[in-house]
Amino acid sequence: MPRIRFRPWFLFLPLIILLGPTSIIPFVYAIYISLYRYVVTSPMPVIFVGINNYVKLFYDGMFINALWRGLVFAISCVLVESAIGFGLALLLWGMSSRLGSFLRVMLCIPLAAPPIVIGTMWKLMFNPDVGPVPFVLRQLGVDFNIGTSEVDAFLATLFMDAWHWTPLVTFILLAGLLAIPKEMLEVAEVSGASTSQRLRYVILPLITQQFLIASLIRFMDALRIFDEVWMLTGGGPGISTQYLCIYIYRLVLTQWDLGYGSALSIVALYIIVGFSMILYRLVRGGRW
Amino acid sequence: MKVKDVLRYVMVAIVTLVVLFPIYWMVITSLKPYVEIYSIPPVFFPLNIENNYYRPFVKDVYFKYLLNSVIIALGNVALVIPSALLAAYGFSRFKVRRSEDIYFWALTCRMAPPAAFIVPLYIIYTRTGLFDTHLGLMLLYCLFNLPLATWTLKGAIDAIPKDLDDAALVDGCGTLSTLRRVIIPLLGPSLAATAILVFVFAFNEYLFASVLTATNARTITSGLSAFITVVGIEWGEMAAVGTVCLIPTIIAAVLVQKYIVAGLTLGAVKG
Repeated sequence: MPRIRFRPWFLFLPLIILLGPTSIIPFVYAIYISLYRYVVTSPMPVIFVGINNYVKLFYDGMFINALWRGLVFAISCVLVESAIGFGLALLLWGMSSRLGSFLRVMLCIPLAAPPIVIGTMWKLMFNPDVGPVPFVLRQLGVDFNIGTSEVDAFLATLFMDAWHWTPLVTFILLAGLLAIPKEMLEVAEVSGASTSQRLRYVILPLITQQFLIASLIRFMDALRIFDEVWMLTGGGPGISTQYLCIYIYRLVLTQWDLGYGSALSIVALYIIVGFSMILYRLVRGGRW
Repeated sequence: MKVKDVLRYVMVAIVTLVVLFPIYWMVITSLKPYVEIYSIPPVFFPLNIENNYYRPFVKDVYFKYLLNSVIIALGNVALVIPSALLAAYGFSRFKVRRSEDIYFWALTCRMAPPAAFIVPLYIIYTRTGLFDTHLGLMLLYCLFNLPLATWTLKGAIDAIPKDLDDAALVDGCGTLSTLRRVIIPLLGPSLAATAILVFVFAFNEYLFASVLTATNARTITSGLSAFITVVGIEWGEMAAVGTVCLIPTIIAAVLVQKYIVAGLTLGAVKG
């Protein structure tokens, strides 16, 4: 069949026009600001300081704290959500269709809820004055106070994140499970493999890719978490749940240190871009 | 019934309880009088109903905030869907040089931390007059919604046989009229589902809205944190506003559940 050859560039124009200014202009502008000492509330003039703001990062204990806590939080999220998510995916996999679709609907609810409302909900649940969770735990003899205990605040953010995002991990892994050819499982069963052997040697190797995609998406999203944690703990007690984006927010909107805040933003952005590169390769299924 | 089946029902019951209880708790908090919110032990089944919705929505400005949220989200849908449709068609049907780069760029936009953009955006918006306008947020939400919509729609267009395009081409249709006469009618439900998803994610956004609006274009989600005041937290009213934010998004989620996962993973996983 004869084909008309042309380059349909115009199809991409609206995308480029809308996405370009909202992503590239702020990025370039942030690099520009990050080279200046620019504190809105300070009477000192705005001066060019070169890469000083970037050097400052290495000596900033608060930044190291935010990065470290953020990493611990993100890795914990990935581990917890992969474990529960895999369990739920296996549960859904072998389920009758009516019960299964009910469970799917249940799992979709957290995914669509506004993150800030999720923060509000868990603030109501965990608050030491009004929440049912501290009350029930106190009856069991456990003192749970997210306002004073660093560990409790961390656990609360972790639990909230697991509530919000475990369904996504479940659905990604379920897509992998559903793609496994039935014959492979039958062969394994006929050859006398036990359930745990089938899980270990047949199922897990076949859904490695889905595990990687789910873990990476969750890792990146947990690293840039803001809304829910901001609502639930505000970064406290102290700076114990002050993850990366919360630190940027505090730096910029309470201390008005725009130059240094921008430098931090650029570094955060590069960390994320690095990970999205890995994700991109995985999704495309390409080789390195 | 076998033991395995019983276990299954137990697990589903646990998941349902864990998912629904916080929502239930917020809804009943929005209906409790002040005294019962603070009572120990907590009231799990409130009998005295108080209307915490009245003050924020009728006497205060939250109804306006809700309208703002809806206007901004609808405006964003109107910007995103046509552009995403064109781009998705392009990605699906034509071999375009650099399309891989555009994909990577879009992926980065979706994954970038919003907090990283607030400094430059705050300065740009206050200087260009976009600060505290509906249009400002409509444009900005393309940042995460456009990649999402493009890849959900690309998946849907990929599923339409290419022969149909070729037939239309032979009959004399150009690229745009093929899209209009062949592809769009066949997309039907996935187009609607994508629009709903875009609406939900625009409606849900908090950080940009709270930094880039003041009073005129303030959205309901960014107004939520105003209940945390120096003298304490207005739990009942906060729960009331939270409930109003939550209900439409949950309804939308149940309607389009098949597409949520495809949207959230930029098409890496088919729903």
